[in-house]
Amino acid sequence: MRGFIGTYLQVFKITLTNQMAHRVRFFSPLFLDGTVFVIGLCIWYAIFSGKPSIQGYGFSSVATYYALNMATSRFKTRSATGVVGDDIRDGRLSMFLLKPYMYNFSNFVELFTNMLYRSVVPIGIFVFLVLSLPTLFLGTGNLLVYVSFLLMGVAIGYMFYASLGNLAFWTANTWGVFVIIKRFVDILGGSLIPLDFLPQFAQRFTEFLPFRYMTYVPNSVYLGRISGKEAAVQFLIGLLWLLAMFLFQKITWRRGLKRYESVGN
Amino acid sequence: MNLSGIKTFLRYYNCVNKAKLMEMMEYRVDLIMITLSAYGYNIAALLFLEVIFINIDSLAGWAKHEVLFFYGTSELIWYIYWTFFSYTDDRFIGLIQKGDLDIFLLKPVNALASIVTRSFALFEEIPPILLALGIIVYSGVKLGVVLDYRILIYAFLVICSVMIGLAVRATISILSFWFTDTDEIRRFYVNVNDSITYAPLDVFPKALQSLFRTIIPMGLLSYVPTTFLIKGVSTSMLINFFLVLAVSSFLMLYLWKRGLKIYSSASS
Repeated sequence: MRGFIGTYLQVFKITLTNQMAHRVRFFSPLFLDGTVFVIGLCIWYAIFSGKPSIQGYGFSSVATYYALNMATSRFKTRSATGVVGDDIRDGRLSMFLLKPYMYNFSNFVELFTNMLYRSVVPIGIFVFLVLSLPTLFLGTGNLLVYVSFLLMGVAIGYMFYASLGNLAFWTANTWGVFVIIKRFVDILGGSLIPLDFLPQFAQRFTEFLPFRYMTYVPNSVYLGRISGKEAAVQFLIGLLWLLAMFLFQKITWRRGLKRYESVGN
Repeated sequence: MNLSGIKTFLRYYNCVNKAKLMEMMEYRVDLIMITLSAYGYNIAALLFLEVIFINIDSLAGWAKHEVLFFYGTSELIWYIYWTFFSYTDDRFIGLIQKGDLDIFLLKPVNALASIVTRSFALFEEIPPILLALGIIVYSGVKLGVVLDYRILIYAFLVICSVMIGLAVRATISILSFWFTDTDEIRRFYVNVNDSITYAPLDVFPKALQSLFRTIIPMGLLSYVPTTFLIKGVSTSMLINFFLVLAVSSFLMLYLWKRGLKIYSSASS
C-alpha cells in the first residue's frame, strides 16, 4: 500500500513541479475565468431585467450558480479525452504500459493535480465574492455536501471522458466526437444553463444521463434546491453512475488494448 | 507584395490546396466527424437560445430573431475565418517557439501570407457555413430583411470582421517572438469570444462595451454587420470598426517584421 501511494504521490509531485514552472498559467484564471464570469453575469442581468424570477431562480441564485461554475471551472476532466486519445494514436501508450503503474489512475492523478493547482485563483475569486457579497455563502453544511457531490462529479466526468479517449483504439479522429459530445454535456449537465430552464421533456431526459451530476446536482445542493432525503437519493444514484462509468471505461480500455498496435522501439 | 509576388503566391496556394484536397479525400471519416461536430455545436447553441427566449421576450432590446441573426453572423464570420486561416495562431506559436519558422522563410513566397493561409479548409467548412447562412436567411426572413444593395455592404463588413479576427489572433501569436507563454492570452481571447457569441454589445455595461470595442474587439465582429442590416449602425461605431481593422492589421505586420529580427532558428 505504501508503495502504491508513493508511486502516485510522485506523479502528483512531478505534475505540480511541472505546473509551477508556468507561473502565467497560475494567474491567468484571474483574467480568463474572472472575465468570462463577469460576461455571464451581464448576460443574465439583461435576461432578468424586469423579471424578479425565472423558473424559481432570482438573479442572486443564478449569480451564485455561475460563481460556483467559475470557482470549479478548472475542475473539468475533458482533457482526459485528448490525453488518452493522443497517447493511443501516437503510440506513446506502449511506453506507459511498460511502466510499473496503472496508466489510467496515473492520468487521473495528473489531471487532478493540474485541476487543484489551476483552481487556486478561481476559488480565491469565489472567496473574495463571498466576503464581498455574504448572500453567496449558504452555510458550511451546504458547502461540505457540495464538495462531496463535486468530487463525485469530477470522477464521473473523468471516467466518461477517458472512455471517449479510448475511442482512439477504433478511430483516428476522437476530436470530432469530443466536440459534439462536450457541447451537449455542457447543456445536459447544467454548466451552460441551470437545467430548470430547459423544457419539461428535456429536464426529464437529463434524469437518465450521468451529466447532471457533473454540475447541476452539486450546484443545486449548494443552493439548497436539492436537500435532505432527495440529496441522499441523488448521491446514491450518482455513485451508481460512477460505477457504471468506471465499468464502461474498463471494458472499452480492455477491448481497445486487444486491438492496439504500435510501431517503433 | 508586388504583382508578381501575388501571382507566385496564388500558384503556391493552388498547389497547397490541391495537396490538401487529396489528403482530405483520403481521410473522409475525419471530414464527416468535423461536419457532425460543427452541427452538434450549433444545435446546442440554438437550443440554448431557444431556452432563453422561452422565458423572456427580448434581450437588452434585441428580439429573438434579431439575436438569432446576430448569432448566425457571428458563426459565419468564424467559419469563413476557419476556411481560410484555420490554426493560424497554433501554427505561429508552434513555429516560433520550436524555431521551425525557416520552413516558411526559405520559400520564395511571402512568409506571413503562406503561414496564415497554410490550412485551406473550404471542404470542411462548407456544411457549417451553409448552416450559418441558413440561420441568417431564416431569421432575416422573419425580420423582413429586404434583398438590396445593403446585403453587399453587409457581406463586405463580414469580410472585414474576418480580417479583424485574423489580425487579432495572429498578433497575439506573433507575441511568441518575445514571450514563451502566449497560449494563455490566446485562450483568453478565444474564451471571451465564445462567451459573447450570443450577446450583442448592448447587453454589457458601458465599461465592458468600451473594452469589447477596443482592446478585445471581438464584440464588434458580428455586432457591426448585424446592426448595419437590421437595426441601423451609428457612424461612430463604423469609424470604431474600421479603426480597429486598421490598427490590428498594422500591429500584426509591424510585430511580424520586428519579431523576425530577433528570431533565431533551431537548426544549424
